[in-house]
Amino acid sequence: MVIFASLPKTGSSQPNTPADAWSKIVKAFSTLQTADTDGAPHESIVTLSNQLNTALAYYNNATILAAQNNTAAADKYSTLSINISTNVASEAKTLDDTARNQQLARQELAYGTAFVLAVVSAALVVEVDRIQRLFRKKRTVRIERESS
Amino acid sequence: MRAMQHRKAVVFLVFLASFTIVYSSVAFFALSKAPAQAFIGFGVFASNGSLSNYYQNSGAPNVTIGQTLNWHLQIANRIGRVQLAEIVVRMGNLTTIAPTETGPANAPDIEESIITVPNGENSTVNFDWKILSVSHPGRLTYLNLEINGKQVKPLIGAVSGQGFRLIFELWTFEGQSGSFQYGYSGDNGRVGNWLILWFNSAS
Repeated sequence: MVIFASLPKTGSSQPNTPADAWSKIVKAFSTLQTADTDGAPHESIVTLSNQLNTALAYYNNATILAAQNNTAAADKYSTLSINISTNVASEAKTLDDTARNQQLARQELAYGTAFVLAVVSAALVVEVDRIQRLFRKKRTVRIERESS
Repeated sequence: MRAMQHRKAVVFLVFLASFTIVYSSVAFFALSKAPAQAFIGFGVFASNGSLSNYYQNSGAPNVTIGQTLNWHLQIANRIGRVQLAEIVVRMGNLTTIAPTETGPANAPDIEESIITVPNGENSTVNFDWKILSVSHPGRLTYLNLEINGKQVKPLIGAVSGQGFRLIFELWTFEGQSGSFQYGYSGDNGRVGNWLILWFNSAS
């Protein structure tokens, strides 16, 4: 028994409008700004900013063409803009995750070191008389050795 | 003996707490960003890169029909994080209420440019414009402009073509509102940032 099924057309989707492109740009920018605030490397932020400016240029073309009622060309530029914005958002998210993990590790190291130093300092203060006795004993042994 | 050991333990804990507070404070300051005055600078530069001689007429602000002026609008981001900035250009005349620290001018916008500016960087936007033609329906002169390749006909006229103003305003995108807001978010609230260049239509 053979069953014929109508396969869905691959690649068919609603056209991307300038409004869609703007929405993606906003999302990409928000993710990029979060990554920047969380300490992502400056060079990476600059690179992604330049890419976002390219997306903005395509978006600008799309709006001009849409105003001229050239919908097909406007949608084409919108798609180009969306592709770049989506990539920027994805890379910015990765940068943000890495930056947050590094920030957490730095905080753990800094506060962990602070606590260890506090333990050592407190122990030194409490045991100061024992340490003084130890140094006095070592000095006595050294003097006796030198005199004999 | 036992009492002495107990006393020693209490003394140890007190010193441990004190030293922990002190060293943790040092760690906190070491991890914190250095304080700095946050601002966004905004400038309009002439074609030769200077802050003068915008009209190439020995300083006189007269623009003739067909004369192309290539200016550069520069944004310097020192706010501490990447910004999505918009430059709104308006056409005004002698009666236009200029922008203030808290609000934009009451003139129609004739051009907008949006750009991403990373922190610590300067970004430049071109502003190439010329007067294509003028019209005199009454006492007022109206301009037909070309700005960055687009034709614009502002509904602002000036008596005898004197006293036109190009008003450049800086707007920045705010995530909370999801829209551009006038000026930028400073340490004590929003800060307006604008520039005005006067010119006369010499036709």
